[in-house]
Amino acid sequence: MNARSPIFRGVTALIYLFLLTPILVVAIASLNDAASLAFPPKRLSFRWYGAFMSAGEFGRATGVSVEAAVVTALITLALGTAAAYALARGPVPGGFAVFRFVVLQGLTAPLILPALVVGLALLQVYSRLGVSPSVASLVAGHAVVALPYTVRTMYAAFAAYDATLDDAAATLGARPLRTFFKVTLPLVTPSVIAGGVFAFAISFSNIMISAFLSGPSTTTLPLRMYNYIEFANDPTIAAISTVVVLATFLAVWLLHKTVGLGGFFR
Amino acid sequence: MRAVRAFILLLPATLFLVVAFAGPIIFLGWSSLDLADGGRGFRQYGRFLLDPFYRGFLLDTVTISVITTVACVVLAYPLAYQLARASATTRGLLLMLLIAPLMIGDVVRGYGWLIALGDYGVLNQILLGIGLVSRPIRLVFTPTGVVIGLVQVLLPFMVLPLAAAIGAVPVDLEEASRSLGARSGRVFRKILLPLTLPGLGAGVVIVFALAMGSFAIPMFLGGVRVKMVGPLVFQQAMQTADWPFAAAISTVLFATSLLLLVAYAWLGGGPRRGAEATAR
Repeated sequence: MNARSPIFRGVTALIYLFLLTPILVVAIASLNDAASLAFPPKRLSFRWYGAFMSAGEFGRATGVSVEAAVVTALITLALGTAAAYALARGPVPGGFAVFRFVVLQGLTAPLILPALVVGLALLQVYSRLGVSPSVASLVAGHAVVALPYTVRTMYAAFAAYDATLDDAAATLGARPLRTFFKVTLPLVTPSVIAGGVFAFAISFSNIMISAFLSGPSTTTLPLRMYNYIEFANDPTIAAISTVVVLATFLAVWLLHKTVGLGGFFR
Repeated sequence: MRAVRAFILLLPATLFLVVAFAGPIIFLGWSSLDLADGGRGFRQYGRFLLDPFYRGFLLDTVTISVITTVACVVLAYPLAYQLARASATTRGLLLMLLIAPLMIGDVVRGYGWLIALGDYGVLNQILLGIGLVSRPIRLVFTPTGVVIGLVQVLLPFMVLPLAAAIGAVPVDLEEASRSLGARSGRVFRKILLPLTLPGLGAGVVIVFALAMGSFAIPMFLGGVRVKMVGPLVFQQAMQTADWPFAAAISTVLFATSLLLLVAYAWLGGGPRRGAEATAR
């Protein structure tokens, strides 16, 4: 393979086009003036964005999703940062390496284990215990699938952190807790933000868990969109999707500018 | 840091996963043994694995997941190679293009493919327009449609570990073999492929596991006509309300993924490599 040959570049450009197809198609469809999904649109308009803004049901669903995503991000950041710090900076002797490996795999296991099963398992426990659907019961499920992202991000940050800075603080008389909050944490802030953004996005876009755990008053935006698509075929969903797409690209661009996306590359 | 302090810091996350993840799943496995007559047994598993109707779901899911994984491998190598050998600026841009779709969510992507692949969707309008076909080709609610959607959703999970593996192969090796007269195909077969097998293995395991447990894309692009395990679990639990059966299917799905996860951890280099990485 030669990365600079025009044929190679053409092939990779086509694959990227394939990756972006559903996103581009949604953006174009959202500008269609007609109440159908004809392609290409005959007349362009922004009226479906207005439909999104004015329809109370989508507003409510967006509120639920944002609330769940914020709480999920905060919880998984707290749990993930503490665990990652212990794993990256814990005692080094032989036995701990195996222990570290097992715990890290365990904490990040929900990344590839089926989220569908998590949703069903939690629903069954809730119904047995008589827990009614709320944002809190939803967040428990979202946090399970979001935790691996904060653990991985923070683990990478602490593993790359220069521990001599903490030693210096300790030499100057700072206690461990003070060292962590005054020295370590400020230096890894970009990673904290990155982990939080990931956890937020994972929760906000989740449908698998929400499909099982959402109740009538806690319907999330993706679920509301899915239900709407089942019986209506106008570009409202395309407009909402486009807003989500733009927000996501903005967030990813911010991550790129602050922490860089290289962490995915290990 | 002393060991005691490390354990205390690990406790909250571990406890959370025990209560909200491991516990409920063990309970799910236990409840899959419930029988309608109040007894206990493995009858639900027999029904899922032996009844030709339900076994069809499992076989079709495996077939679709295998095809998806193979397609991802083929498409991922060029992207991973480009990513690994790109300059820092280009790499940042390419990573954005790979990671943003990952974070956008299945509903937006499933809906986008529905518009793109529908009978009078974008693709068919183009094909009809240039006269390549006389009737729209049917992609939505077919296994092909589901595979297209799954490949798009899962491709980044293959590209990222593969790019990391390629990045670890010194460019010098390629240049040396080229200067000795090897063509691109031979360089790939003799150098790149053998040296990136662990990364490839990791990508294969992730993509296959995620395809097996996929839910939203099969719901959007498969409808009721493509038989996949994910939608079957949802339907049995939420519509038929046959909880023990849904629990049994989920347990099979979960056990399969767990085996794959162990394989993945092993391919990732195991504790030994983890220790080396810390030593560096």
